Amino acid sequence: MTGYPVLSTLIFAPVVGAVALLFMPRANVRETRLAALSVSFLVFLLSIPLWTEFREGTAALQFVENRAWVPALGITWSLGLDGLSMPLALLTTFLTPICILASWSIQDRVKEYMAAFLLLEAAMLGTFAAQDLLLFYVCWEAMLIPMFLIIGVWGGRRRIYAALKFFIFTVVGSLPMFIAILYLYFQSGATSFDLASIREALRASPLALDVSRVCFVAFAVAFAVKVPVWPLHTWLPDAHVEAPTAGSVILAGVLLKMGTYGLLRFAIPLFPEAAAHYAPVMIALAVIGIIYGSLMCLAQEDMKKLIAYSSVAHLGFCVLGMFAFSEKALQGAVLQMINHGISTGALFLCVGVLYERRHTRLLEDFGGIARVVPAFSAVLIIVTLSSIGLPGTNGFVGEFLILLGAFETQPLAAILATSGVVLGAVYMLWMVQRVLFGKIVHEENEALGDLRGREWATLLPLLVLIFFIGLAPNVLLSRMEPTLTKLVQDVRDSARVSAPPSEEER
Amino acid sequence: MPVSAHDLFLLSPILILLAGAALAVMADLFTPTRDAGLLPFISLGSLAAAAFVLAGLWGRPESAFGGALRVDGVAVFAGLTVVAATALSVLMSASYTRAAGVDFGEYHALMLTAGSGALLLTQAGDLMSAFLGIEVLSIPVYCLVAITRDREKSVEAAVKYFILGAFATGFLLFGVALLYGAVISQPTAASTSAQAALLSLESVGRVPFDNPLLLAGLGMFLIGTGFKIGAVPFHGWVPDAYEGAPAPVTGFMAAVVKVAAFTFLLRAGMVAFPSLGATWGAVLFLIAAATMIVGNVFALAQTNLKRLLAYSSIGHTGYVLVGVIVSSENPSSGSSVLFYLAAYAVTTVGSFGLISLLARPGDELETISSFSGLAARRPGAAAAMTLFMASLAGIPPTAGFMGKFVVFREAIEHASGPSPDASRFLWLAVIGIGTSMIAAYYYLKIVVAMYMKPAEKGEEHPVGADAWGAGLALTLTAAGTLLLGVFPQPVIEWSARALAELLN
Repeated sequence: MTGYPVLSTLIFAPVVGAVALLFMPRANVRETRLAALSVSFLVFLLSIPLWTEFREGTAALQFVENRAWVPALGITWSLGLDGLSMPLALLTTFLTPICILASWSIQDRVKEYMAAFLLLEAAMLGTFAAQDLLLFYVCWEAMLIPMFLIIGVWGGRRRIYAALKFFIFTVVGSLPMFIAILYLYFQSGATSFDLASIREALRASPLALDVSRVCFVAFAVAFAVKVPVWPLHTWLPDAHVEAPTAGSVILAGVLLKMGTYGLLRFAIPLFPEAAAHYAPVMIALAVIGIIYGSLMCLAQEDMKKLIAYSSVAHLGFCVLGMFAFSEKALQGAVLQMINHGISTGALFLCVGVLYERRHTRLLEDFGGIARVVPAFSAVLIIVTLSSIGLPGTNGFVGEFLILLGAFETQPLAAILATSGVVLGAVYMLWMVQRVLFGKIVHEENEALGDLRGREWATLLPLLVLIFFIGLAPNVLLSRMEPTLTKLVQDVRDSARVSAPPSEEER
Repeated sequence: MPVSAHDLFLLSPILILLAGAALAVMADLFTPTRDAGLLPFISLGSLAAAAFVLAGLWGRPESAFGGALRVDGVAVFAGLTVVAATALSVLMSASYTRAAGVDFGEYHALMLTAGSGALLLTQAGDLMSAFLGIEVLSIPVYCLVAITRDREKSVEAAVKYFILGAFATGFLLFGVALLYGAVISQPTAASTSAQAALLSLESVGRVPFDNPLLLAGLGMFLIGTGFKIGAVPFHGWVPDAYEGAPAPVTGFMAAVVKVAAFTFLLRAGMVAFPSLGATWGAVLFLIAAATMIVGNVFALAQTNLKRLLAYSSIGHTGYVLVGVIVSSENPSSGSSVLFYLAAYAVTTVGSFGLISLLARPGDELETISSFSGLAARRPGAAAAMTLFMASLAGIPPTAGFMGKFVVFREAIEHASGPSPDASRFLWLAVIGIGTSMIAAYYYLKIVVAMYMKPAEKGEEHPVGADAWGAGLALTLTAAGTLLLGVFPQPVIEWSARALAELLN
């Protein structure tokens, strides 16, 4: 293990960087960008020990820090990572430098933009590392203002509407969770908001059934808004379309995962019985989300909107995998969270590449550009194939595991969800076809420039990961497995969800 | 009753402020060339001295003048909050009053006098000193509202505030008289030898709660204080007075008047009306719920920033009332009220200070649209305002979040308590959270205007004075807003210790 508080360092490094950036002279735009890039890259380097020092084969928390924060109120500065949160924390530190590199086209108020991005990174890392309910809530909410500003200040034409919608949806979703956290704390009789202490107290004296169900709903709604689960998804297409490229990347790559992560970290383990009780509802919503999202994709003219709706569908798979309560499906769901971050991030970067050249994202404005920009086309095709889950890419493993696991416990839902896979192939390939192939109908497209060095630098790392996870998923899975197995086991034990019938019983 | 030197020592923070007020007027009269630059230092000096003495009284609960004054932890905690808020208001006023041509000694004298009244109110141990405190606090504030006497709005606001305030005072005084009647109608009252002690909060507390005089007096008393804190349905004056008053005065009113009045309400609720929550819980519930809802819903429709903040302050009154109601049945929860008041005072002085900083002679940036593009015109001010708005909205990591957290924490903790009406607390918390959702929207409108809208035509240039006083005060309030959100532990501990002294 490392000898210093690695998680606190990771959280505070971007904060320090952001404050330092604000003191840079406004005229030095180039230096500001480079400084922000170096800070975020430094944070990435600092996060490497999370991978190398991570002990496999245990579900226990690692890199644990436990300090008093506000002892008078029972709030602790309690951090730690396990097989569930470690990959997500790494995804955050990995995507942030890419996002900052993809933000070179931001011309206006550069230092504020970069500072907001670094603060956002700190809040996201805090969200994944927090092992105290209140600390989690603080980080969860602290992320709102920077993201609100990123969408609202540097976004597209309807940015104010989109930013407000994003903010209001999240706040309205999470305030009931705030009450539920307090209620849970006092009902459980825990001595602090530390997750371990609350779970300890719950083991000693379980909540009344109705209390735990109400709390579960309050938590689940807060997280479902962020996932987003249909029908709470309507903020997402707006936010994605209006956000600047990097905003979309981080939104799809990390922010949405905070919702699924929250369900897995808090809503399900704290209220396993309620989770099992409401699982049919969640699964139904997930399946509706998959099909609805996919159908909406077919109707989109704007590439960003299309990818946004595909996110609704992909995250539906994650939710399905989580509430199927099978180890395989859960592994697939968590892997799919990472995969979606990589593939969708890359897709938004590709759209950003086109947008910077043509200032349009409409499908009809392109077509036939494969001949003009061969390298870009190759990248877009690879990313698309990974997004629809072609074997050999990362997307395949996650989706396959989810469906495999879901078939065991929720056959009907799994069958319906499979239609989403088919539709996914249709809408994504159709998009690629309309953008890359056919005849060039717009003269402007004849002169498109191919990928530049900076754009390669943002896309290459993602391409490497697409193949790496696709070919060697076990590297990730083995690190997640103990945590996830324990999670499913805990839920089964306390909720007595019947395990899938074995072969003999059938 | 003999007055000892020690009594005078305990009174000295109040006396120091009054001496400062006198000095400010004198200095203005006798300096040959009017040098108004000196005045803020007189004010700040006397405030610092008062704070020094007050801080020295921390941890040694004592009473002066036979119990008329209680210099205990609550008084010191609230007193220091009052002094800090007054000092910040003085700092914010310096450039504003110069620009508005009202930088004369009286301005400072009025502010210091009002501050001394607020101190008196936080220490009041009997109904008479409470009444004195309220009057010494209110009358200078009426004048301060009208101090920019060339502005029509300012005078109009002062007249409205004064007339309604006079009514409220009448109710209050009538209530005090009835309570006095209730006390002397008790046979046990005769055993208390000192005539003065008949008005003490403890004597009132010994009257059985079914005494009709007591109930009538309590009703009058609640109307009077409800007016001072701006609780629904006695809130009508708030938007007009807040809008019309010069911005630094508005900040002073919002912070100091609220802190002092709520501190007294807390003390009176615990000492004089211990069974208030148990018997009148439903009434208090309705008042708090209505205050939260009306304040936050009406704020939605405002286009004038000062009116918006006025309605927001009504909403915040509702949140503090939640704390007061919970602690009326569970005394130990009172510390949450003290913390909330401190957090709110810092934030609200900061946000009105910002409006004063951006003011031009005879013209305040009042409408939300006049804040458009502020992020480009004054990035520092816009960032500070964003912080204040986040704090008022209760978004972490700010003082406002911690304030809401401690208050709702207490409400939910006691929601399953022994009292049969305890579930009411849960509903208060739910309404509080629900109205916070509404509130998030209107606070955001200001952030949207500052960061996401272009400046109005002809308003693209930077605005406001580069005044060191206001700059310093803004830095302090912004830092305070952040610190109370990130490291609240010491202040929370102090508030708990302060309350413990009241309860013992």
